Amino acid sequence: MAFNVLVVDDSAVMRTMVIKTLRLSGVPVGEVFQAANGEEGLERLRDHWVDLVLLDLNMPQMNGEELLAEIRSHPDTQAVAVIVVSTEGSEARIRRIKDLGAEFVHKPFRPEELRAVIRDLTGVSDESFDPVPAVSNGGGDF
Amino acid sequence: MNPSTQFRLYQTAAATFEELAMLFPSEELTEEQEALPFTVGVAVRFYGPKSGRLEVRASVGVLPAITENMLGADGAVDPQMQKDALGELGNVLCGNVVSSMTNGVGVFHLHPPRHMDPAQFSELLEPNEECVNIGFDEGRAQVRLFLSSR
Repeated sequence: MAFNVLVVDDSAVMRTMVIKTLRLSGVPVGEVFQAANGEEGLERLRDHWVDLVLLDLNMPQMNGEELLAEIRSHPDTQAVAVIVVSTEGSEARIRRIKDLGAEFVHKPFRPEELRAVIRDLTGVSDESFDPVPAVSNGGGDF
Repeated sequence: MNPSTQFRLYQTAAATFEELAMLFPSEELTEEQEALPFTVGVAVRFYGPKSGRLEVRASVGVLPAITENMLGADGAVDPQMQKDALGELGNVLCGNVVSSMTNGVGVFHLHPPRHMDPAQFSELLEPNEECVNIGFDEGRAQVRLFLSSR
């Protein structure tokens, strides 16, 4: 099974890094969609089949927490796996995110961490994933 | 200057440069690195349990290396992506620094990164400001943390 992925972050550099790290994680990736804020993210979700959302918190127009609440409030998207990728350190805010059924990954993170979180969140066995490729000079960190 | 705040600032900054941008700090700043002027900078304002501003300044050579490493690009990257990369580095660094100040208690809000012209760089430290310098093969960076007194 390959995951169709939506990456929502207002930074084009960070979206590129997330996608690069995702590909390095060995998780089978299908189509990858991108959005620069929560509103664009909702549009992508309306227009495409998405299995996994990787979501930043601090964004203009509609932030990550608001988008997560929207995702959970619609029958078509409420079961989509969501991982919040952020520098957020507030335990209260992280708890709110987890209460909405999302996982949390702290920036910067490694491909192995992302792989483990996706495995736990989706219940897809590790055997279904590709091995994590060896990366020289730490180029896989994010 | 508070030694523990300064130590924490250095540790967090060095780890962020290393993990996010694959730039590895040298053990000590050389005279050559120390003499390099800063050519780019970014500031991120924050408020919450504590309020203030975090600045990252870098000498020529550091910004292209940050961008190429973050993107996995080989060669020239367009200037807008370079600005975006520096902004994101400032953002991640600020988020990690403020979180470490309160051990995860309280919610901080970060403003979008604001790019600075070198003419805006002040050499003087304000009373509530900490500053650390980090040397790399590619040049040097400086991270400044200002806490407002309110």
